[in-house]
Amino acid sequence: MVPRIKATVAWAELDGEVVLYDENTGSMHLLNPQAGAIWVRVDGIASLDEITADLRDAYQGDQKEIGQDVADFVDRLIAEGVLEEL
Amino acid sequence: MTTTWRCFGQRAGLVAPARFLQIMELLAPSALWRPCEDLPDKVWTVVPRRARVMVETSGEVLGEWQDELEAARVTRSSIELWAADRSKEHVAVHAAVVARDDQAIVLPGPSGIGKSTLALALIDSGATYYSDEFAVFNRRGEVLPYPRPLALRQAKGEGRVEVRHLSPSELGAVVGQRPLSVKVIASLPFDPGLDAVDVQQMSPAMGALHLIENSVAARSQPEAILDVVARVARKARTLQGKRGPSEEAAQFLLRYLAR
Repeated sequence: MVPRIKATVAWAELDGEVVLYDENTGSMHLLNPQAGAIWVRVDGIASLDEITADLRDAYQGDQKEIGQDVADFVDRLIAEGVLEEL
Repeated sequence: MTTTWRCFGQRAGLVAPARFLQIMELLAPSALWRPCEDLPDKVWTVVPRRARVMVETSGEVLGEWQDELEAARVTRSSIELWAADRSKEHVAVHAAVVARDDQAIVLPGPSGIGKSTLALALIDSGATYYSDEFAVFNRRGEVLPYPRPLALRQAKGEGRVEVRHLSPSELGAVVGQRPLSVKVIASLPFDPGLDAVDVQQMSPAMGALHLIENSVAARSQPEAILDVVARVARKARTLQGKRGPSEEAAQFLLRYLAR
């Protein structure tokens, strides 16, 4: 699965945290640095597996655990309406 | 008579009796409001009706007032909100702003949380006045002087609230003259149950969130607004909490600014 940021979402990264603003709903989200690290890798090209591999290389974590975190995060933000599946 | 005002870079036309236009000139807060010769993008019309005035724009009636000054204030606010929503040059955030030693403190928040009272206490403690209703930022993230009269609300019982408008000169305030960097973003709503300041330092991202949730144009220009508020928040320290008496909160903020 390849996740993509919805066109209606503006975002900015500040010290690892990410602020999201959805112009459709006017809703705002604040992502902590762990979630922010996943968010900045969502580019509409990388698959979940590729994002997971990139995070494992960057943070030296357990691939299975990271993969689960990435999948949970993407599911949650699709449900929140700020990501979509390509 | 007709005047075109340039407000936040937008052109607002006002068709009104000469006396009303004079009142509007007195209410214009800074160089960000100035008459110009251009054709307006939108027109507000003031219609005298017996002892009252009615104000309308684009077929929508803003209201009718006996008090011309109140009608002018509402007209000014209507123009400000329209212009801020369209502006490509400025970002307006509902906030009070003061400064000390060329460092600005921004107090974002909606009406009624005690921003103006806290700004007044800061001015009484020697801070320079920048603005009350709106923090106006340029695209570099500097805050500009926008010294509207302070609107001080006072509860009068039975749900009534009296609003007093005090100009900077009536307050004896020194008004800021040039753009400044923001050093502190403080979200400190008044809590009558507190006798001190209860506050935590937050991340820059939380500072950006406080600014965008109080910005006028977040919905119409989200990327541009987020770009500016992120610039502001990256350079500032953000405080979030609640406050008791405004005098103590003012002293706390000035000490914090000086650190």
